[in-house]
Amino acid sequence: MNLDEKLRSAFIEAYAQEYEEVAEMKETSDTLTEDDIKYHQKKIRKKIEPTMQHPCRHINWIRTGFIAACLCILLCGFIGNPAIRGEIFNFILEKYDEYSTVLFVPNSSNAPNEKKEPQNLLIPEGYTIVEVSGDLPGYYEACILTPSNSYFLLIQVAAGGTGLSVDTERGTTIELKIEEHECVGIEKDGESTLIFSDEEFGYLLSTQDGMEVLIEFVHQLFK
Amino acid sequence: MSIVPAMTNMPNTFNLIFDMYSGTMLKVAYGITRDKHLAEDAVQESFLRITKNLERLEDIYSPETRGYILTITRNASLSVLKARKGITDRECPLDEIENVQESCDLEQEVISKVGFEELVSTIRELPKIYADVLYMDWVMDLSIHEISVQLGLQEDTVKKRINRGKKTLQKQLIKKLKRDPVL
Repeated sequence: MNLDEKLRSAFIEAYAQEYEEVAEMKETSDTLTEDDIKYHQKKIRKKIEPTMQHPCRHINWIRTGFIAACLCILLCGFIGNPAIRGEIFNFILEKYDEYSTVLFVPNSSNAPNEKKEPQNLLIPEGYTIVEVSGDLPGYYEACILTPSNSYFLLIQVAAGGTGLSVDTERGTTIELKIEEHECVGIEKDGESTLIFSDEEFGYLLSTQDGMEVLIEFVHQLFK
Repeated sequence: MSIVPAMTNMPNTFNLIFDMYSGTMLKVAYGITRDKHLAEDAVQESFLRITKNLERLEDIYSPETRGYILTITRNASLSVLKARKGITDRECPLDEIENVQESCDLEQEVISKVGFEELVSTIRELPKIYADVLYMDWVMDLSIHEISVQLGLQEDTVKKRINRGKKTLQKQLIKKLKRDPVL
């Protein structure tokens, strides 16, 4: 056994031992009961399964949408005026149209037949937004397929990070410098100067001009 | 680097992983959060992270996968707990104490001298924040970026923890060898 393999095996063994200890832990007043575990397993499965079936797995948006829909139904029930009710429904439909184009774009490998481009976005010819996701707190990413269909760009930002970085399939990391939502330049392997907040990057991904900034960046990258 | 995962059998694999590991994951998460609802959130968060790496799990029943699940759950639980307490990574004092820039390689000689059982017990004594990143690096063979996504940490934090983890492991092994040179 060479030394790297010895180290790797030791790690696997150490973690396997630890896992077994937790798995075989006896039920005490300080641990979850079997009933607790079954109850929470059921709840988690219910919450996660729809996102596994959904191509983009946007659990937060599905959850938020569901709560919003419930609230709207309640509101509509309380407001007797049909005109107001109609306005509310129109508003919901309008918003759904606006956001679904950006947030629910199917993943190409999962649902090839459903693939469509967001209607509201001005995407340069040949570029395709494959996936936009923000389902981890403080972490957002967008995948864009280039005209030659050969490169996926993963545009991502973590909350509190030092800007927006782009990983290409070739493994290059390129920093993007953005000032007031305008792409002003690209720095290779340098440090970007702007720190994005969740809100700012949420803006970039969820609005048309925000997405245009990202698309412009893709253009510059492959110019 | 494949960015969009192959998801053909994802729901099936997901179900198998869920059936096999979710109970233990809940136990791990509860052990850290001490709150049933936070533990539930943590396990849910863990599954979201696992789905991002699903295509890399070759054998879901292997000991490697068990360790991986343990690591993900532990870190997701800490993230959920931090979020509840309003602590961000930047405020976490552990990673601000020192700025480790130089990389550290474990001395091969130390590894070769120490016995396998002793190595396992030393790894078990390592602080989890270091052991987890080293596991992701050495066993799962993930890049710094992938580790940062999987553990919900910043890339800088991952690099620092890898370096400190290697140093700590080396120090502890040397200490043990000095105490008992025929390990």
